[in-house]
Amino acid sequence: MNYQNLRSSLAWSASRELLHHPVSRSVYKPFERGDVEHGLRTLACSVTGSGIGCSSPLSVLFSQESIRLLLALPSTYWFWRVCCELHRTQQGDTGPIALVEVEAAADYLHQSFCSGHDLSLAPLEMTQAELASRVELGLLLVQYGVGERDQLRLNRLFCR
Amino acid sequence: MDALKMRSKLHDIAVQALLFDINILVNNYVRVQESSLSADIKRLAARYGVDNRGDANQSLPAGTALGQLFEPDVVEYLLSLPSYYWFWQVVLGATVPAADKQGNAAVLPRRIGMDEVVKAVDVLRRQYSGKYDLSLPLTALAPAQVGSRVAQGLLLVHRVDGAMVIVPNPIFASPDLSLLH
Repeated sequence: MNYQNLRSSLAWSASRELLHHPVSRSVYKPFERGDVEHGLRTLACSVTGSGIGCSSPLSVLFSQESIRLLLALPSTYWFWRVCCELHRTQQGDTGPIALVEVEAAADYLHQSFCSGHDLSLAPLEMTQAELASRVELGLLLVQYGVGERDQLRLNRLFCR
Repeated sequence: MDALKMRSKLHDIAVQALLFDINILVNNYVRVQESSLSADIKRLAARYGVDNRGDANQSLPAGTALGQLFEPDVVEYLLSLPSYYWFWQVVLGATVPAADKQGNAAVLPRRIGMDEVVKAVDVLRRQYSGKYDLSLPLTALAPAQVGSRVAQGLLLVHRVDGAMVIVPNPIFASPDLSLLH
């Protein structure tokens, strides 16, 4: 296994996925590992040095605890957004990406997105402009329903 | 370049902008400025310009590119839209995809007129009117309805000097398409 430059390569792949397969950061849209593994296959193959492991790229690149956390994110947008920030950690490219690195990336996004927002407020306690701003940023997510029966959900990435 | 080919090329530029410009957001209010548009549209305008006088490579004075492609009232309307996302959505709807370019260029006006834009805006409205009651004023909306409209760009967030303001998207705010004229 060659993990050299894995974090920076992953950040590049994640940026490319965000660009080519745009998903709104404001929308709650759960996903499965198959929805993201296509974008990770080439990178996983370069780590293993062969086709071995390419059928399960997540398991090559991340620890099992990391995978559990990443697949619980509210959309592929937030999955790739966390991946974009993994290069910020100082863990070194010595193995699969550990839970502590994913948590550090999530903390960085928390600081970037939540500054100035009181996260204890419920939607009914906010002004419409405050609510709109949080949806636009992705702190609050819209889960689409039939017609106008949509729901607001907290982005669990920021509920830490 | 005939009028049909111009519309086809403009359509491709709109697709590129919407797909690959990561700075174009559906729900963020940004004042549209002609000077900030991509070099592609300026090149197309230079090539197509009605005042071209046969020199395809001549550069256009700043602020005139859109005027080569659209009628003056359309330019005014496009520059009044609340973000580049919605600018390109209207341009996309008012032009033709490459797959449809077998049409008759001779029947098309040289510059894109308000009739074509009104049709594009009407299609956009119909896309959303099935899900949303566009006649509801902002004050009548529940939190989830506000959030959903923001996520889709029917309402936009405008940050001014640290304050946040909700801007209704004019594409959906006016029920009367004739007001575009």
